Amino acid sequence: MKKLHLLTTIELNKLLKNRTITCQQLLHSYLENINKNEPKIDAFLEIYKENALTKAAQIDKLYDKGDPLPFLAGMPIVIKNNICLKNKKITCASKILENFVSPYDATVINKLEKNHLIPLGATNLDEFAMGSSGENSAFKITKNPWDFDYVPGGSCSGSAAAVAAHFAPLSLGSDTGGSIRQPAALCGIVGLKPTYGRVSRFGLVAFASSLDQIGPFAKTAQEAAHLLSVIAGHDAQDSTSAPVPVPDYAQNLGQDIKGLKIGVPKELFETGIHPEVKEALVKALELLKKQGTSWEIISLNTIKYSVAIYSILAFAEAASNLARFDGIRYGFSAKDAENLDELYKKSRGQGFGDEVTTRIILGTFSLSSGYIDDYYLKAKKAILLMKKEFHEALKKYDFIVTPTSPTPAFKIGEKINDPIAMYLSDLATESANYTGLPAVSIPCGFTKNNLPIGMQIIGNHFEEGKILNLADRFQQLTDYHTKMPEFLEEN
Amino acid sequence: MTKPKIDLDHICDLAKIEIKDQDKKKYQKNLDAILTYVQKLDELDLDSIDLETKNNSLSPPLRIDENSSPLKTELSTIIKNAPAWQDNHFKVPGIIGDID
Repeated sequence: MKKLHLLTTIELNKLLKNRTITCQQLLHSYLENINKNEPKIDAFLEIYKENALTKAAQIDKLYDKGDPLPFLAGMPIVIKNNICLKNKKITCASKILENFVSPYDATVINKLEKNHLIPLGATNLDEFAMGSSGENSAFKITKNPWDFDYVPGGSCSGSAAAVAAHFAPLSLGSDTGGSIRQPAALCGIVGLKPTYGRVSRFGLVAFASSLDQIGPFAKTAQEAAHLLSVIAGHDAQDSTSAPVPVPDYAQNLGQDIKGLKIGVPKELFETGIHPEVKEALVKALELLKKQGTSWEIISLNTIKYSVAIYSILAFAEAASNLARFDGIRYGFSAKDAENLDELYKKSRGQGFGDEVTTRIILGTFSLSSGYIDDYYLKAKKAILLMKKEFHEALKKYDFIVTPTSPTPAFKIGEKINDPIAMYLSDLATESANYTGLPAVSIPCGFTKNNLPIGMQIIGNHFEEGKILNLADRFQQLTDYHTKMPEFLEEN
Repeated sequence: MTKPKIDLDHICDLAKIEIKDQDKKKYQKNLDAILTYVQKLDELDLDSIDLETKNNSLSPPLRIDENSSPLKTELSTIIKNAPAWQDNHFKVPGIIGDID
């Protein structure tokens, strides 16, 4: 039999249920892999080994009793370190929160607990989820499991790399402009940003509140569907969460895709796209066509302005949200301040890294007197125009399909001094945040250098089931998601 | 929009953030590059877009006006994260200057 950490949760569920294996054996298999390979990847900020072992023993007892348990009971899961776990350090990979211990659990963590999943560790990220490469972490740079010289993408660098490296079968991340989908694409796994309001953000450290959404990472759409059913749902503690019933997403997979229509925006297809990414996308679309779907090139003009909108709107919201880090109530506090104003300025100046500081400055600028109309309000208007375009497109087409990122993974250091080049790696993903639409990235090929390529499927509001169904069907026909980084095969 | 030059010292003062003198050139360069890029938005015709028209499909998320405390967190847990705590208060330097 394959090593346990190389199996899917679908296979593991059967083995746990019939007691061929125990949760503790499963956990040890992951821990052994982490022990051996984490130094190469640097996906974690902390590993909750003791807590996880205790929890695994408790869940084994439940399995032994023979009571029916939720599908993902006993599965380890790793969590982006901007989602609060009670009594654990929540650093957001920032020096300003280096020693912050969360006094409470995020709603998604309560839901994981209720479903008997096992939080196994806190994963690395770009500081405060701001970045597209993982290089903005104040603590370490996570490497792409497919080639350690390359970035895993960001901001969920650790969550994506951990699943790709089989450190855990599942992980949670947050997505403000592509932070789940872009690293999922660059690491060759599935990453889903649900509809705005689908998942409670209570306990997620806020970056841009009109865009942030928590979502799952997994190897397959089927596993992501299981995890989405666990974390989705209305929460009175998040006023933006929607009172929409949660279906059993995994149960509803396997629907016919014949006759479904796909629109492919030319703005992400004809220019600025890496030739190997385009080739993989066309191949994927043709494969889906053979199953009875159709695709055609459409125009969604506002997509071209995604990064410009982001640089105004997301940064403005960040400047506002991050005002709470003031060196007084929690977090880093400068020791040499002589008055209150100095305390704020020094604590924030010494506590925040370069990218976060850049965004706070630009966000403050675009909200400041004399500039708000030309910048912030213009970006808000551009979003309304984009919403109209997407709304019209989704009346004609069931899905909008794009490359998840215009290029495959790039080298560590390659874009760090060119902010625009870095921001452009989220060009294809940001529109789903502005429009609130659900979007999933799935592996759809590899470059000649063996780097993964991702395809993004965007659907209508609350139609996660439909995009996951198309993703699942595609994975039934392909084997990209079953391939493993070289170092795992050497094991 | 006409591209202005960001007055770094003024904006840092508004944002309550101190940056080192030796880093100012780097920030100015990056901020200028981003501001130049966002001028792209001028290509869009946004005059007819009315920000006042809102989608009212969802009712406002109002809860019943009852006193409730969703966070049942002990004060002792909260103050563990406080950089300086004294006599049941967060301790800060004086507004004009430290009077200790």
